[in-house]
Amino acid sequence: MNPLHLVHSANDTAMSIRHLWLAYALVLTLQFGYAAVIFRKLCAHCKCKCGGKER
Amino acid sequence: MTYLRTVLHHLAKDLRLESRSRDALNGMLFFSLLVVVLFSISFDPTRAVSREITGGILWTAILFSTTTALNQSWTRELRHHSLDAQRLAPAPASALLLGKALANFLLVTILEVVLALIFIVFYNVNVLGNAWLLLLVLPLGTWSLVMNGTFFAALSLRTRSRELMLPLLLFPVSIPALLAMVQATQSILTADSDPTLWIKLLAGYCIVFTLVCLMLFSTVLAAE
Amino acid sequence: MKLFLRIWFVATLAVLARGLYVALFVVPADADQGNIQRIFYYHLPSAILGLIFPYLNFAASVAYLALRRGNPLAALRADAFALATAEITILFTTIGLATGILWARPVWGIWWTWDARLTSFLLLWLLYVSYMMVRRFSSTGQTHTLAAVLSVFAAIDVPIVFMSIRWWRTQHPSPVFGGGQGSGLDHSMLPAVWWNLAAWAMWGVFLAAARYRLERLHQQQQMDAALAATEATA
Repeated sequence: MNPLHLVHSANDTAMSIRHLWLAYALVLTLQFGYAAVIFRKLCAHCKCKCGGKER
Repeated sequence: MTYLRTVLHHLAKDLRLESRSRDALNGMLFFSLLVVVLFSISFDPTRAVSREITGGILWTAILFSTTTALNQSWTRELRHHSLDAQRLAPAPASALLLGKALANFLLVTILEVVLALIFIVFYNVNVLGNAWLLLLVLPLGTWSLVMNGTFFAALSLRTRSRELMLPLLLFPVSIPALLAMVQATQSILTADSDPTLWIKLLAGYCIVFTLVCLMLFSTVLAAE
Repeated sequence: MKLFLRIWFVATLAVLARGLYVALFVVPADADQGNIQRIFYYHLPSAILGLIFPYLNFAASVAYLALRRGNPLAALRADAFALATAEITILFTTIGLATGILWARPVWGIWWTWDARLTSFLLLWLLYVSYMMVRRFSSTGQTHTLAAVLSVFAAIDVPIVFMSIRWWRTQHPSPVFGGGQGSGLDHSMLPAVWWNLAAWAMWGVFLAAARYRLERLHQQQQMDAALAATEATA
């Protein structure tokens, strides 16, 4: 399972490629997930102050 | 001199309170007896294996029993607003911590004497190395657990899940000390290696964290 | 200020994208490990940042403890920064641990080992999780102070754990798995390391700024509410 056709290496196993993708997916999910949570809250504050209805 | 007298006052007070109900002591003794018996049934060790694992089991039993008793030692201060009175009193806050820690230390030492006898009986443990060193390791190890434990019990006193916070805070911070006391005990019992370095680490740990706890306690006491 | 943050955000995304591209397509695969080694380009920045942010938290906590009587408003800012850096510490250490574990299984054959570095890193994670729990579970007046005290303990404890376990491991050495990930780094792989280190550092700064801003807004809300309550009773 090597969807992006990385530089081929004879030492790749199915497990190692799987773990590679898992790791990258995990990092991006956690980082962007956390950022999304923060920004959602920030935007809620903004709406409250700048133009939205009173909470 | 007054500092010492204050510490002794607190120590005497805590011991007197404990002697009246003996809640903490009984709880600790029973709990650790259960732990010891359970481990014995699970592993059913031979004499040689016992010597290897006694260190770990002994200190695990002491750690868990101490945790059950520590919260109690502070909750009694909440009754009748004693803690507020302590805050207002001109006596140094660290004396309160030291007195209480010493009281807990004495209680846990009583526990250890009983546990040691239980181990000798149930696990057939005999000491191959220098047994007198155990008289150094046991108090140092106990002090490191009790000092940090009393401090963190005070810190978690007003938190919502008190029973959860204390182990959660205490265990990670105590890991170097736990490693040292278990390794020291094991090397004394099995005479496989030299315990000196571990004893030094334990002593260093005790000194550093006793100082840190005493310095930060007035901050914690007055946290509101 | 807002414009600067927006520019920083766009720049960060650009560097992140470049870092991802270089890590996956430009640098060669490792001769021994194969493509799994590419995890390293995300693992290393996370591990390094996971060690920098806790000390930022420690500095902010000490600042809080020092300022809270004399300059309460500045102390509140310090506390907001402490909270922001604590959360980001947990984020980076979680990622560092997870990527390390995922890498270890195919390469070392085991998920975990109790050596000095891994154990103290796990301990750092545990201590900061308990920091967040103290913040969540303590009653409002005390939260800042208790958390700051815990931060001091964590800062002292982590180096001690590292040294004690390294000591232990020199007494009873565990099997050595070929010098760790850094040792096999060829020059051709360095661009991926630098791009990703820069990218995640910029990202960390960005997140810290955002979280700090959010916390300051919360604090302001609380102060406004307290003022309104006082005025209502006056």
